[in-house]
Amino acid sequence: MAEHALPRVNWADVVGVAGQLIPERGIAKLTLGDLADALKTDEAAVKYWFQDAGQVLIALAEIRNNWFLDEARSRMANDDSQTERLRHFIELSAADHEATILIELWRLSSRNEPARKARQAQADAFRRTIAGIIRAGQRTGEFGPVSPDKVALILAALISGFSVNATLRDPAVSPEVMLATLLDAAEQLLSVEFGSTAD
Amino acid sequence: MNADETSPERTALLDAAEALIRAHGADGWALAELADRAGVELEAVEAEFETEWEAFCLVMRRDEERFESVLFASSAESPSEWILALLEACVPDYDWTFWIELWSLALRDERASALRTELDERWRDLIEEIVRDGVEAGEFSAPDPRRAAITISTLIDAMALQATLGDTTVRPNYMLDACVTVCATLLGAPLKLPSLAEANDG
Repeated sequence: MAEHALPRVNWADVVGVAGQLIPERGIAKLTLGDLADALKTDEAAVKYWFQDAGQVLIALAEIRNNWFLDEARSRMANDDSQTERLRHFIELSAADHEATILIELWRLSSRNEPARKARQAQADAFRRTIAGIIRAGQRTGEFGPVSPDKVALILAALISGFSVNATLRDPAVSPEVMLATLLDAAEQLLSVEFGSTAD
Repeated sequence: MNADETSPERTALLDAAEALIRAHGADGWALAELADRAGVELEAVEAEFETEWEAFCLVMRRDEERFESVLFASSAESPSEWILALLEACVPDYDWTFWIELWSLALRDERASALRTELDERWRDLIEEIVRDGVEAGEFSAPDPRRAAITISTLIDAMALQATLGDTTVRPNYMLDACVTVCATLLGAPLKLPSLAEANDG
């Protein structure tokens, strides 16, 4: 029997510490041993929940994507129009542009099938939400006759692309520029006017 | 460094470095592994590249030059044709693996951040020049050509990275269609979707 027991950890402890270590080190340099060290436990305690660091990153990315979509739904819940809902979705995207976990997920996805599937599922959920707003806006006559799926794909791509730029501190793409550019693009693609962004 | 940047030996080493980066990431291998893979002595590798980072930079730049050579081989004449040629060049050649590696490194490494900025600026300058030519020729109506260029380059990056990761929606024809739609909208130009004779749309 060990002289002193190492602390037991739960699933959320592991994901929580990964949320600190992945931005610091990157997924390529992170091991379960690193996570165990940070939690002051042994690797077996971490391995009880996750087989490798990639699984932890996938869990973290899912939490973050789900949080974003839940928060967006919450902010849009009281909006009277689909135009307002889309504006709030885009505003949240620009405000919550931090893309470190997303970039690390992409990097892992290029060599890891579970990560690739998780990324696809997250991207699909993101696009479906935007497409749903566009379809509803077309039914109410707010948006023009475009393909909702195509415009959702475009807006989702622009959001992720500008998020990368803003996260990497691109001097040409501040969060403010990201927001203004996304709103402009959505206005032109959907033949709609958002009006003032001040809320 | 070898003075002959196009020597067969150097080309073979860059090919081997490309394969290692694809398999292990930009920073997941050592020069000794590159020597093994290329079947040469470590000294021969060190004569070409001082560090793994230098090799990655050269691979990245070679990849960009390859892309530009595809683009500049186009017979496009008008700004509208150049924009379409640019989009078409991205579609069959949409492997953004090295860019994904660079973005990840740039989160924590100033050298990677500087390389990413340099290559992005070059890419945006190229698009901006086409947009400005189009405005001058009366083909485009973009009030802010730089902003249009940044939006177009960002869209291409995001679409191509998703295609690189095997996205089930972002197939070549759909990617091209979406990019043409955005360019036509942003530039106020009736761009016609080119046919993709050689792209495999699955």
